Amino acid sequence: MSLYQRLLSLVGRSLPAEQATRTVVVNHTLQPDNATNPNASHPSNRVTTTKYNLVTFIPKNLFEQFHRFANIYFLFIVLLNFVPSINAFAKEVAMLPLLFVLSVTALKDLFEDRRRYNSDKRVNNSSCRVYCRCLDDDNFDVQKLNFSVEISPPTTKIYHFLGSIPVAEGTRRIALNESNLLLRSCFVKNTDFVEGLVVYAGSETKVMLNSSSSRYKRSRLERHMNTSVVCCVAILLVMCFLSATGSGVWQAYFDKVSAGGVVPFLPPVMPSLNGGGDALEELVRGEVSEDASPAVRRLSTSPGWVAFLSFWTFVIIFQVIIPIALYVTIEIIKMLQVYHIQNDPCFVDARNGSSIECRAMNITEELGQVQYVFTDKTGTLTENNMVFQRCSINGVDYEHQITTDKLDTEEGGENCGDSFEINKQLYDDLHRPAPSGTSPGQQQDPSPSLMYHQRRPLPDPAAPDQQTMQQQQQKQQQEQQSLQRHLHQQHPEVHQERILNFMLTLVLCNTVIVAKTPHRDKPATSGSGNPPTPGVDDYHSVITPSRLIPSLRAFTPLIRIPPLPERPYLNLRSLNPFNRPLSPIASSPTASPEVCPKHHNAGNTKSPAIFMQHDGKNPSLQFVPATLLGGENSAAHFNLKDPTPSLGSQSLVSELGGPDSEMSSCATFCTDVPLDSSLTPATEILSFSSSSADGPHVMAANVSARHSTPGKELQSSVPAKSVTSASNVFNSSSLSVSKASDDLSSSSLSPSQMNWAYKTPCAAQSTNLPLMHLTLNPLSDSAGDATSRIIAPELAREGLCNSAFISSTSESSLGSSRAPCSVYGSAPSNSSSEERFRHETRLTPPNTLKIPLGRIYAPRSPLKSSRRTDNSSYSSSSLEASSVSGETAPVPDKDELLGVTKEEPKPLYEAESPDELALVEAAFKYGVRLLRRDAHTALVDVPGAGVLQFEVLHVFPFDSTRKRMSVMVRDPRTKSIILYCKGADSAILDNLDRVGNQLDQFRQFRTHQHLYVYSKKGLRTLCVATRHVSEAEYLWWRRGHDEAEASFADREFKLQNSYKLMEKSLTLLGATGIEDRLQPLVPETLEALRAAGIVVWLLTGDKQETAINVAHSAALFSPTMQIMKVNATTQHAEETMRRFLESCGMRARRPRQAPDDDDAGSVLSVTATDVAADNVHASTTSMTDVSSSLMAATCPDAAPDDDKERGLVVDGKTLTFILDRRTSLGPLFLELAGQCRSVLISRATPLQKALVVKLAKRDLGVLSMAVGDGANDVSMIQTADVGVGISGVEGRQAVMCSDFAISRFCHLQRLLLLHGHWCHHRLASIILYFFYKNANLVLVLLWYQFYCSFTGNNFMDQMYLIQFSLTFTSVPPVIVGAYDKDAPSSVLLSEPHLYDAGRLDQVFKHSYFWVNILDAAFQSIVMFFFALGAYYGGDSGGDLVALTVVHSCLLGQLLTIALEIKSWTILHVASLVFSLVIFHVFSMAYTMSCVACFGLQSVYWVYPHAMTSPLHWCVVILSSITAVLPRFVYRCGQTSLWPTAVQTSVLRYRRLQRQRRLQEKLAGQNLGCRGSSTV
Amino acid sequence: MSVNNGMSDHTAKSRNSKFKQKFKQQRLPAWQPILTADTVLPAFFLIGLLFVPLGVALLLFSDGVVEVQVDYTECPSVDPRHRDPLGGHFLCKDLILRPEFVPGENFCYCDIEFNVTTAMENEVFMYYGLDNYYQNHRRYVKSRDDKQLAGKQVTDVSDCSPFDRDNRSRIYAPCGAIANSFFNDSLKLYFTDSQKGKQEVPLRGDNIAWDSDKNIKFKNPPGKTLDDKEGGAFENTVKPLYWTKPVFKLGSPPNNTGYENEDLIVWMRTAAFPSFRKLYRRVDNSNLEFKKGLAAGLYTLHVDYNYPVHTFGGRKRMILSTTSFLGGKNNFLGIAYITAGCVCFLLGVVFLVIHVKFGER
Repeated sequence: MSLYQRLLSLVGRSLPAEQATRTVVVNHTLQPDNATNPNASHPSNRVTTTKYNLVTFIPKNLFEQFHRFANIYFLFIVLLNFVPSINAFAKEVAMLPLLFVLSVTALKDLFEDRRRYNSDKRVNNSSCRVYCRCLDDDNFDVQKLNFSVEISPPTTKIYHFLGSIPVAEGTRRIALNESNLLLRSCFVKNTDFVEGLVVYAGSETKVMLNSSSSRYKRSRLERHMNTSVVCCVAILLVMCFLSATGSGVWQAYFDKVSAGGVVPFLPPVMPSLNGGGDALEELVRGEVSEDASPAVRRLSTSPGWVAFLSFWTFVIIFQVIIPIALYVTIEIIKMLQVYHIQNDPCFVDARNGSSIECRAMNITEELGQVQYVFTDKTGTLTENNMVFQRCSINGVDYEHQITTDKLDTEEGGENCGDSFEINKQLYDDLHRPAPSGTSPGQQQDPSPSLMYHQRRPLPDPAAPDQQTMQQQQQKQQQEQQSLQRHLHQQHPEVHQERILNFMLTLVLCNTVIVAKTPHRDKPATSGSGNPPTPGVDDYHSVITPSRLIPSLRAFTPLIRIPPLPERPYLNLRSLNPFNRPLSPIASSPTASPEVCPKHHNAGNTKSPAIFMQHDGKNPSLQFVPATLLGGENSAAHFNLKDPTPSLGSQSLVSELGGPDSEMSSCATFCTDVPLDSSLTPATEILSFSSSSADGPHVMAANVSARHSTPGKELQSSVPAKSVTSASNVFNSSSLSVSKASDDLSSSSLSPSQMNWAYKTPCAAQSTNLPLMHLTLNPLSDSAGDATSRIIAPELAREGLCNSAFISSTSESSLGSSRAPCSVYGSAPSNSSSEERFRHETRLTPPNTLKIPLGRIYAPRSPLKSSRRTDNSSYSSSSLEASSVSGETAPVPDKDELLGVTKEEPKPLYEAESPDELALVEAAFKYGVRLLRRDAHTALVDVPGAGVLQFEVLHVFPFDSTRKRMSVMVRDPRTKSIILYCKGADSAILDNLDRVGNQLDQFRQFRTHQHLYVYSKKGLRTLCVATRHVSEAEYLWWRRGHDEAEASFADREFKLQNSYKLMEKSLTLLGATGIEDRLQPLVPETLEALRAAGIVVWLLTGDKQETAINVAHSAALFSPTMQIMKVNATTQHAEETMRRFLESCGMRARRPRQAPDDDDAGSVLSVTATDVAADNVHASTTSMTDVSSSLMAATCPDAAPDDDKERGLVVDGKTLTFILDRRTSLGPLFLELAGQCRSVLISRATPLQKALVVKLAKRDLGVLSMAVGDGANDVSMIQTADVGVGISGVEGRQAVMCSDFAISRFCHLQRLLLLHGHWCHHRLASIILYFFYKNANLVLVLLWYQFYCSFTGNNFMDQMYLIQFSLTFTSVPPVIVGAYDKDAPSSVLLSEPHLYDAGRLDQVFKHSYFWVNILDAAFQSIVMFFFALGAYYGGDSGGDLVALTVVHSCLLGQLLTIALEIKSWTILHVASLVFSLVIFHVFSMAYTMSCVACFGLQSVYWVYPHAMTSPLHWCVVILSSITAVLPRFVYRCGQTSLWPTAVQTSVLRYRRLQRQRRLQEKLAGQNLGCRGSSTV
Repeated sequence: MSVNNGMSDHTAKSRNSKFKQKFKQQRLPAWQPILTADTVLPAFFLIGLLFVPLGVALLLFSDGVVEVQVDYTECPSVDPRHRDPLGGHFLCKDLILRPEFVPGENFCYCDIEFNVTTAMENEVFMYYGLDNYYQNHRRYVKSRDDKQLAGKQVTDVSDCSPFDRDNRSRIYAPCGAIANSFFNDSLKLYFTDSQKGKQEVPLRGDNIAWDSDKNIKFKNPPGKTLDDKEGGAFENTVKPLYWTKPVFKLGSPPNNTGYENEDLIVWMRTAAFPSFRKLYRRVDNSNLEFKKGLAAGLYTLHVDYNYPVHTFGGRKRMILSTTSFLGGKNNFLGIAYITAGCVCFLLGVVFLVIHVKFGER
């Protein structure tokens, strides 16, 4: 604790809570618990989810409980009872039920709170493993670490975070957004440590803010039930009113008859006053007369008053008809149901042993009533196991054979890369030896197969029209083959380059993380029970930052979370990103160039560092080490990435400076720090950090995927200091950077240095366009190609010295007024230095802009240089080239490349989406291998070029509105900036560069075709495009982008615009087709769901064709189904669509001829096709231009077969119009959709999914279920009545917000058809039974009122009255509600139509409630009046008669529930026996021990008298059997005459079983006979 | 042996775990009856077959009970003082409303002659019956204190309100409306024998209450004497308002007085319905004359008329009855059983038809 206090303390400037932002100041100097510490206003990280403590438990719990209506009602009754003239029950006894309910609930709450307390304890006391050593370092001055972070106040919005770090005295701000925030309870993957500071702690964390809201869903059955309860209230009031009236009338009568006399059984209402005795005396003496004393007059009460009083008495007596116990019972039943669902072994997934998880406890019965299922496709219906199957590159289609057929069985997603065979042709195309020295045009002749690659007839089993399509395509092919041949023959190299670029896009444009060894991530074990606070409980096994530093005050700064101990040890050296870039040292005077690279393994530069390489030719660079480092040739680098003093940077530096001292001089310290000398150290740090990544990283949570272990860092840091003194200045930590900068700024800078600093800036304005020509894009057909071709070999030959480049640059950059100034050689360092400079452009006046233009040219494309040599020797040649030229781009020795060689097994890729994984692995197979990747660099093994290090300038992350992702890289070969873009076809194709030559257009056309074919095959398609960005354009754009990034308001919008600026005029490279296999049994499941009458809507983000195809193969669309497509492309389609929907809706309702819908010029494309008919798909070719495929908005001519099942297909864009409230198309759409069996919505965004669910739920009033697996389904799952999450590949977001989590889609069948049916049936019948049960008892009491002058006397002893529902009859309903089965599982599963019972609400109809009330009335009449008949006028006391009635009520109710039991197990029998036994035991104990207890009238020894009385037994037997007779008759008659579907099926099943048994028996007998005969 | 035990233990354990497993997975062996016509047929016939004979038996039992009821609500006073000017007799029910009426003083009495046509054999019980008498009135039925009646020292008798204390704060003994309204007519029965003339039928007032009541539920409070003197059991108590004598002067000492008086005990067991009878006396079988019960013949009921019921429309009866296995005379159950049995039998036939007609569906 003290450690944290000392090291991780922080001080938040106290702010008023209302303030829009809060400021966190990192300051270690104050004690956190100091009274002056303003941070006290922020909550500590101690999580307290408990509601109560020892003192507050009782009052608080009571307070909460009395928020429930039921308890208020109870309390009201109890209080009524305290009114003397109303009281019906003994006061103490009347409180018993309330006390019982309260205490049971309190116990439950106590138990839950105890659980919360324990989980809190686990969270709060979890061992802290924050690694703080870095802060202990001598060189780290805690006092100087003083900066503040402004953040938005805590909100519940998970994906919302805004903040900024003011730097430079607040003149500039580094913006923070949600990507900088690591949420509590997040599971950090592929991360070895995290640097950050706590901004929200404890109760202010988002998970805690979100967990407070408990998910309580009210099921449809419960709503029905509540209606019935309201009816019960009405019945109660009527009963009370009637009884009160009766009471008044009776009173009036007796008032009259007793006016002159005494009614001995009518004791006066008057309480015993002093004069009471006298009054009574008078009364007794018959002195009641007109002039009676006022006291006497008071005795007689007016009938109205009596009626009023007795009304309340009756409220007390008849309260039981409101089945309060029902709520408790139902809760218990559901708990049991959930328990057994979770224990169903059929839900266990064989792959990982995971089973179903019922996260919502109270909607089990909803599973039996689902009418609409909204399902996601990817990962829900499919495996989410992507297999790269086809790609179209440059207009050429390459197909791949899938080899592994067992994908869907036991293999995880990791091996999907192995599951296709390499397309030889593609391989050859890519790996064609580079032309050596000659012009690419004169390359070896391409083999003819290049054009006639493995194009096979496209098997398209799902589409019946494949014949037509193939013919069409073949025809087209033939037509275009000449053109194609021309294309490839003329430009095989262009083709190759495009393939390469295509592959590079696959490799670079993604979020893949390369790991040497798989992370051993603990699977998040989710609480499978009933977590009261799901959010908290579920994350326990996940290492969370806040867990690791549990007791910190908020805003603990600068923590580093070390890797989990089980993480594999990673060789720091092999991973050190700073080693490899130092190859330019080769040309340094002191170090031998050959040695240098050897000792420096390539690393992946997650943390960009600034390296200053000097090659001896640049005087300004030579100067730097001399001045700054005291003339020593020492490595001077610092980790700009780490704003915080971090071991990582320290050790990394020391790694360089230590053992590899030979080369320590090679990198000289290059910095523009002097320019920033005005900055405080702290801000300097921050500025560094913010410059390091594409987004600022110094903040709440800075996650860097750095592959090193702290242990190693520690070790290496020791020798670091011993070697070079100079490095001490820099290598201690990144804080030392600020020190260094201080030093630098304070030191007298030599003029030359300043000179350098100021001379070097190059004009980075847009005038530098000519640079573009030097990027030597071999792929482009532009004139620049020629230039590059000329220059490239030349450069390579001449050793590619920088000066040469510069000269050539100046030569070519005609428009540039200033020459490029400086050479910042190394490619890996490019990013950092570049970033750094970029940053400087913001920090410093414009005239100090330093753009290292030279760098752009410096590394000549290794691809080019290697082309001169054979493929086999390219590595050595690249080594040579690099060492000679001082370039770093190709890694000299591949064997040194972190051990990643071609021989080694491929690295482990881990990605957010399986698509990316599949693509990267596919590229890997073709030799384009992603070796390492971090935020700023990507190391790719490129065939023919060796290992290239791409500098990743920007990543435009994927989002659902843009539907694409881009990455902007600097090609190490050409130093040009290339944008690689990958995304949905609509997102790419709309943004293509329209100006192109014929060939390009042809290619685009071909790609369109392929895309269509792919999607018809059900493949997931992605388009790949690229764009070359000129340096000038980049700089221009960059400025705007930086602004957008730094902006506080509207940042999202600005960023989007900024992305769009870049993602245009793209050159289409090709498309990919990825197969996503259906999960096993998906078609069967969907078939079953459809057979169950459940309407299934498929909502997917995929292309329409893909989705339709999957829908077909998943049996969502049956072959006989009529498919209607609605595709609108503009907003003006509303009218047309309305007409279409109306006509279709009408048509669907009644057969009619197609309406004359010629939507003149409307861009709405409403296509309706009948798959069964052979008219699919006339628009095959026109798919290239969707807007042109104008088809008449007609409904299918389905008039004859109107009863046909229909399927509806809508795309996301159309949905936008439909969901738009202004169009009011929603109802029309729903009407149409309501008549369709299945609906498919493609290209739907997550929000649209949720909206569709909402629409269906609200307007159709159906019970909806949403099934999904990914984060994009979360809103849909939350919107639906029942949310089902599939715990698949894509994380657990869907599971976390779901009500039920299953592992396979096919489990849905069992969940709905079996458990849902059971649960619903059970609950429905139990609820009905409960109403019957309570009404039965109450009505008996009502009938009694007719015989007790409506005075509200209790017929039965109050203990019996209470115990009757509390104990006697409480267990059987629970057992039946949890265990009864109206049909065996095999019947329910094999006959899905039985699901109708719940779906159509056939089990619990409101009329059934009244039927049950009637039955209760009949039974009560039988029970009461039979007893009356037997005992009337007799000498038996009231208590004995009451006991008889109680007994027959009990037997009658038990017999009734016995009739409701459909399947008797030992539990059922036991529960009934228990009920009987408890009745008798209680009666015996109560009546035989209690002479005068509880203030009740004694019923002493009544029970033995009753049990020994034959009359009692005669009455009980007769009335209980007679009572159930109607129900019995009804059940029998109904089963015999009008059996329900379920009963029919069960009967059939039973008959079959009997027959089988009979046959077996006969067979056995025959066998026996034969056996005996032979003997 | 020990091996055997271990084996059985083991098998028991495994069986137990198997059961647990089956329970968890809801796969316990189940019997799934389906209530179709053919399966329920036997049940209906069985019920019919059981109920009809039972009903007949009950009717026979009821028939075997001889019961004689004499309503004496409006009996005329036989006291010569109460002769009305027209030569008739005033009715006791009116007389007891007169101011000069003092209950228990033999103020008004009547003799009612009635014939017993069938000899009442074996044990004969005498009841008094009250009609339209709501002993189950809510306020009435609660107006008692069982603790007091059980002989415990009570200070809080608020349940009995307003019949809890008199105006001098003395507790009524026993308190409450029930006790207060204790039935105070006294009935005597005379048999007019052709040979011996009118002779009193010996009646016993003991063993008319439940033993449990007499022994435990109703106990006189401890005290040196059974009176309200200092140190007596009923010290500081006062007789109930309507009573003419204190509770310790009820009945015959030592066992049938005070709270333990069986008439009081019987009265205190409130009736279920507004029409009820309460056991009053039983014919003393030890008397040789009435050893075999009551012979047929002329009987005279002598009533000391104190209890007012007609003011609220109530009736008073004297009932002589023998008992059967089921108690008194009551044809209801027998008829009900026969009816129910017949209905079941009919239903059985209906279902037989249904089964024959629709059974094979």
